[in-house]
Amino acid sequence: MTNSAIRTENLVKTYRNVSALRGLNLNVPEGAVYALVGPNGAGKTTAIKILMNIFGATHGHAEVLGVDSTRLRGRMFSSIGYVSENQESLDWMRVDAFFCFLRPFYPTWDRDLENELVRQFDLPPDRRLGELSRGVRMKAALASSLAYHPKLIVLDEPFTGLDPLVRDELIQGLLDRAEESTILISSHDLAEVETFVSHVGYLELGELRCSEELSSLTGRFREVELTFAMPPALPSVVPKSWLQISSSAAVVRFIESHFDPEKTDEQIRTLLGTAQNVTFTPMSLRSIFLAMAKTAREPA
Amino acid sequence: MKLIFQIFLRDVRHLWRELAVSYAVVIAYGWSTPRYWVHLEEWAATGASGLGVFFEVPFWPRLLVVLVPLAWLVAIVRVVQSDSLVGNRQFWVTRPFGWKQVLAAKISFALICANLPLLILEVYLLAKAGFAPTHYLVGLLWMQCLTSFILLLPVIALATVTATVGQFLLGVLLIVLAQFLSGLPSLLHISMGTSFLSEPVELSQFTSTDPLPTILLLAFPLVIIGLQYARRRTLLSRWLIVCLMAALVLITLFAPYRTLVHRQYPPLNAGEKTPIHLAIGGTLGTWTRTSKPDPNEVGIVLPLTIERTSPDFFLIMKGSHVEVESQNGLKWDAGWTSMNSLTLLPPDHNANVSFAVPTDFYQQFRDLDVKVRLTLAFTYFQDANRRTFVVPSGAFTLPDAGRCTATPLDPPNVYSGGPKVVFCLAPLHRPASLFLNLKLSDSTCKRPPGRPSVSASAFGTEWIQNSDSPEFGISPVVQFELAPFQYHNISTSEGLPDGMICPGTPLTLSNPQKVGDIQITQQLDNVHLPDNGSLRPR
Repeated sequence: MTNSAIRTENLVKTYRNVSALRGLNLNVPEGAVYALVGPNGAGKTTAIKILMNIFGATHGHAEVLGVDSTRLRGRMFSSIGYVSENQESLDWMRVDAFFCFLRPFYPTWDRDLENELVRQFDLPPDRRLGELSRGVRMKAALASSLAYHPKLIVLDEPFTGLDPLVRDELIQGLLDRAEESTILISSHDLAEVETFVSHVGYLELGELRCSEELSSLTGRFREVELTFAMPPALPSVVPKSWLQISSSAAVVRFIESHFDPEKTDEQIRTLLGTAQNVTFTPMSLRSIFLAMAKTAREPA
Repeated sequence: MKLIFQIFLRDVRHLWRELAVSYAVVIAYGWSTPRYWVHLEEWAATGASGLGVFFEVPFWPRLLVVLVPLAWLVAIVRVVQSDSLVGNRQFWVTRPFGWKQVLAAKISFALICANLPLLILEVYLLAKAGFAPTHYLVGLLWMQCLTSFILLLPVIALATVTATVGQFLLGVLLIVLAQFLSGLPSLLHISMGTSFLSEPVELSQFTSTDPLPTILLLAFPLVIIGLQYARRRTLLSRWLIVCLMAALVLITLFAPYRTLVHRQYPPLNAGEKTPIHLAIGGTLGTWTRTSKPDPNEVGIVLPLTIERTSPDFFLIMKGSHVEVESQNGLKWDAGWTSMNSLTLLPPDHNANVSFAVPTDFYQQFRDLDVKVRLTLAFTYFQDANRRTFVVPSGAFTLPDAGRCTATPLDPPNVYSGGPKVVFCLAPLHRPASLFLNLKLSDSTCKRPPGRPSVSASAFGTEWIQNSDSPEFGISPVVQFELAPFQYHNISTSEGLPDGMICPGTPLTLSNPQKVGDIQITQQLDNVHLPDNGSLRPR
């Protein structure tokens, strides 16, 4: 069994009458690049701030690198890198002074890696952080969180508002170090994380709708399109794994959420008869979560 | 330690401007204050007033004495808030900075920003005033403690629960407002007369509720600072400030004052000799609390003659408690009233005690004699170490007081509205107890031509009293004036001399020593309540 870098049990966070998290059970395996995705207001940032012990949960338990998240402070952060889009920074400091200031706090700080990151991200050493563009500031923050070989890197909406070039630079910088770390990255942009994550969790309204390896998730979802000679009668009961079934003349469409070529084919033949043409189209992460979201909102 | 230094160094680099400003104002204060001592006599002699005062030397020390703590305050608030404790976007909480390291770095900054320059300034000023700083090291350290606990600690605590200097100032404003509101019962009592809080308000003027408020004022900021750095519980910490303010108000209003006054001014033990005897000193009069008399009560003034059992007793009258009993046993407890620390120096022996009785009680007994049970709470001192001191010319050292200069001024100093004749500089604090008695006819100061001499029996007195411990402030050199401010046996036609202490003038000095705080109770029989025409039944 794989060890967990992050594990939460029934994590609840309530702000007065608003529930930001409703019993989150999250498991990020060691070595994973885990994307916590979901729409704005889903509770991603709240979950991450609880994990980083920036504030506490109303209820539930969380462990980060085997430590109760409420005990996470001080030296324990020498093996965790946290970068957030809305974090305060030492704006008055020059980039080189910023790195110089941080170095003594990290026993594993790697000067060569720091130099490499500065070059790779094209960081201007003599400029103040507050004078940098948002993208360059994010790169500086990421560089400062990678230079000590953290075991865990937590990124909260790091790509929001960045241009594609900077985004690619950040992703590349991250992936170059992915092998030695576990990465948890939150985003509401599914397309941008799909290209490099190994695991994905979909959070909506404070609840984790799904959490699994990306290959498994994309492997089991297919858009199915069936063309019949005559318009078929849709069965009153279909397998639960068939989502959003619809028909238009002789064409039937649905999303198979547990795709198995033989089994799905068999089910189609049993319930709808033999189709003239059958297509199984792989789905993007965005399409998968849209389908899940729409299904969740359909009346039972 | 290295990491604390790393954070501290970063803060110094970040806030070097604030540090520089705080050092600059301290240096300016250190430069201007001794000039103030030197030039005070000249300045006073110019009679500068109004706008003129602004441009005179004393203006700067007076301005700088405000600017110095203000500069500290800005720097310390900024350094505390630079690693924010409010909100959930902090940089430092997800970095390997221990809260103890951050706090230690902030305290180090406060030390180099305020305490260290203050210590250097104190040493410099003491030396400049002619006092050996090494003799006052304990006192200097005590002054550092006072500055840290009275000024810096509350500032740091408030800075930890605010995110910006603006928020901090708003917090200060709210605290000031709360303090003002806490004084409302007292204001209402003064402006509107009787209220259910009148006795607590009167008693609070001379009865201390310490050490509880002091403990709270020290403990709450410490708890808030610890709570914020260790847990960042901003809401809870802000509530603690509100609770502290509320607790202080409640303590002021609802302290068990009668118990406290009994403890702080204990009655004489059996067999103990009373230092004073009381007698009615004249006809009773009436008074009203406000310009609009309360129809439900009659204010009565009881003139007293206070006879000392020793002529050397100095009395500070703190409060009085009157109970009136009619011949048929009906009683009225008028409660405690403050006597506003009325000082009775020998040979003064007259004092008035004010109290009020309900109108119906008054109307029932106004023509009958009543018994008055009077309790006085007071502090008494025994005069000691009386000696004659002839003022030398120029600067001189007055034992147990400081370094002084006798300067006859003409015209009189307009600054304080009276003649100032001896300026003294004292190390750390004013004299704990120094009594001056000057026979005015012994003054060697020249009287203006045509002004008659004062009578041989005329004399002036002044009693300087202070705590034995260093005074809270920036300068360890305290300036005070030695001059008689109370006059006896002098007629208005004679007028006061412009200068009274000149080189060659003999002064009688003494150091009255506190004997104790006590209360004595005496029953005064056959007291006839005064006639109050307005309340006479038609």
